[in-house]
Amino acid sequence: MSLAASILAVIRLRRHAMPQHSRKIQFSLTGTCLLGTISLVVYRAVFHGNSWQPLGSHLDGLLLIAMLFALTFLFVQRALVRGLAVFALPLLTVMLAWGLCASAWTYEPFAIQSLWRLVHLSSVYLGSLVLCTAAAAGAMYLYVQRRLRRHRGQVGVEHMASLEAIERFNIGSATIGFALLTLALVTGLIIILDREGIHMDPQWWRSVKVLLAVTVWLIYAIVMNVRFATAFRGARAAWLSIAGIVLLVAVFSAARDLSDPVRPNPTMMRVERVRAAP
Amino acid sequence: MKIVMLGVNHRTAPLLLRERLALVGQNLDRVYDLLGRHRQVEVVALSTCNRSELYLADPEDGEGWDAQLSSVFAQCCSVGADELAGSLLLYSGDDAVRHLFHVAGGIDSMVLGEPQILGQVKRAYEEATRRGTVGPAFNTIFQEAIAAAKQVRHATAIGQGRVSIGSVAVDFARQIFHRFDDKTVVVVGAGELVKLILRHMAALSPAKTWVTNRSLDHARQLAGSFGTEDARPFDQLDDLLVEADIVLTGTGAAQPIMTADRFMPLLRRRKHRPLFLIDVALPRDIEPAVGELSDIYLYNLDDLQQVVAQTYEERSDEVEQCRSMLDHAAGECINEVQHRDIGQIIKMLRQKLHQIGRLEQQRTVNKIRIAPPDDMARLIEEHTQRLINKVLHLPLKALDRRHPDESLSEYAQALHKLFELDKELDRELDSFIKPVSKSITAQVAQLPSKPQSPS
Repeated sequence: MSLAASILAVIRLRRHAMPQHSRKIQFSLTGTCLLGTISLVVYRAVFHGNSWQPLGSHLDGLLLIAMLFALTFLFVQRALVRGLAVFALPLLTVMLAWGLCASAWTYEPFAIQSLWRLVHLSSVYLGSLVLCTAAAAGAMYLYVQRRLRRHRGQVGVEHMASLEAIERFNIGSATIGFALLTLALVTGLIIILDREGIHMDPQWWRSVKVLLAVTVWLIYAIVMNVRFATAFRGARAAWLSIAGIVLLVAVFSAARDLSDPVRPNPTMMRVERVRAAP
Repeated sequence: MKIVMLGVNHRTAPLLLRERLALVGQNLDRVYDLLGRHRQVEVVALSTCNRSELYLADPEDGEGWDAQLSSVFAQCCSVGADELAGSLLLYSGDDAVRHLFHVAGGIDSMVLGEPQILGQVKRAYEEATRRGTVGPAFNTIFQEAIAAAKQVRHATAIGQGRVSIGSVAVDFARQIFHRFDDKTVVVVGAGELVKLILRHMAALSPAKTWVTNRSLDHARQLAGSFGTEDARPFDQLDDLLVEADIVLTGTGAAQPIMTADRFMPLLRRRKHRPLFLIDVALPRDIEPAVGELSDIYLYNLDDLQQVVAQTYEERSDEVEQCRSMLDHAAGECINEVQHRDIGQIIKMLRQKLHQIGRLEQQRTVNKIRIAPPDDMARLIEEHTQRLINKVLHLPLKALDRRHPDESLSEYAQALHKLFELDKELDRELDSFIKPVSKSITAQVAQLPSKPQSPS
């Protein structure tokens, strides 16, 4: 449904004169998709009984942020940035598809043993949600700017927010995302240092995961400060928001696939059956 | 019900005549005074900058309203009848209703799909309602026309896009900026087109509007006409460009006054804020290379005119769909009015026949009082004959005295249909009526000899 809504949104964007009911169909598809996601979360909560936790696995985390993401862009589109759905719906589709893949092939529960881990996971997922919204706004900025610079008239942009509104929203989202990302990095570090029998590799800061995470952190630090770093405002800030989310996904992948900067004690390996959080 | 529309519009009359025929102020009062004397008729006067139209509905189907309306126009607007001849547009019956629907839907407007006309039709109807010249027919027709026009605007793209350069420029500004109360507009030059666009820009209420021109007096004059004293000397242009968010330029300079080389150092000073440049000068005031610089959105006269042309093209594509929707709605409305109208006609016909019946009944009763009993059957036969003759007298007389242009076959068809005059039916009627007639005659012959009282 999310995919169908995305396709319809893109068709509506490309074609000037679309029947009024196409908007209602798009809204209904998005609403049904949102209800479906909520139902799935509720089903999982009921199915797992008392052992279920909102961020108990990557699948639950993705379902949760997909749900919150859909709610957020539906609200934002109405109140702040008209036309955001066109750019947010494909992201929602990717999130849900990722959730499906995580469910089918890589399902593993997280071990939420401490408050730090809970804060870490919450800030990672909420930060991702906000930064996804910023990326959607960035893509929208680039599209509107391209139409305006090519003098294509009002076709395709007449129902969209102004560049100024989109940029302001992008900066706002990047600011919140930056705060959450910082929290995630700090709590992640605390979790690692708290583990018994674990010692840090002297070259830990040169690992891909850490470098990517710091790059993402720096990118959003720039985006949230474009009012002062004026050379990065406008299209550059929009590109940075998109690059930020791409790198964030790379950090998630690195958390699983690339070498971990932390060298665990071999005796701990048997105990640590559950995967580390992304 | 006779419905007539008489008027002038942008296609039939020049602007000068349309100005004189505008149905506003005293002209409008006189029109309603004159036509309001005919109590039975319904009147609505519609006047816009492109049309003056009188709509009239006469439930009694009176003749000669076109001539009367023409004379009302001439009399109320103090225009000679000879001046009006050839400029007047006349529609009657279904065509008049359909015309109103087209007008309200904006497909008869000079600017296709303009939104103002719907409000003007609504106001004209409300004004007529306030003056008490609207009855059941126009209540239905105008309300349906307004509803259909709204539906058409909603369902098609007839009202989408902009059709004036000023509004297109404002729309582009709205695509770039979210708010204008912290923005600065800089106007370079004082041409007519600049004034036109500035008038639209002023509606956005920008924080500051600076006007500059080679002649400071002209700049002051233009600034003054917009209620501001913000005129600046032309040599401060670079400072103004740093401060500006929107620049509107239209000077008569032979060479571009704003080049890419001039802009490059300003971008840094501007802190990369977006700049919307509107160049309506010919030859151009801004070098096209300026539009390639980052954070600059440059539009020239051609760009703005292209959007206007595109809007016209798109609206033209929608006209046929709109016409079909409006015609369909008008058809339904006409049916509704005619249905109500036929109900009224049947009521009047019934009253008329009852009146004839009562007169004949009285006459026959008087005869029965003094007639011998044997004469009763003849009297009833005579009563029936007289009644039939009286009922048929008026339509047959009208048929005989019909207008030479009126087709006899239409009347024949109507009579055939209304009285079911096909042969088979006639035979059936004969076979039914003859025995009944005989039985009545026999019954009447058996009546007592003493005449009965009429009661």
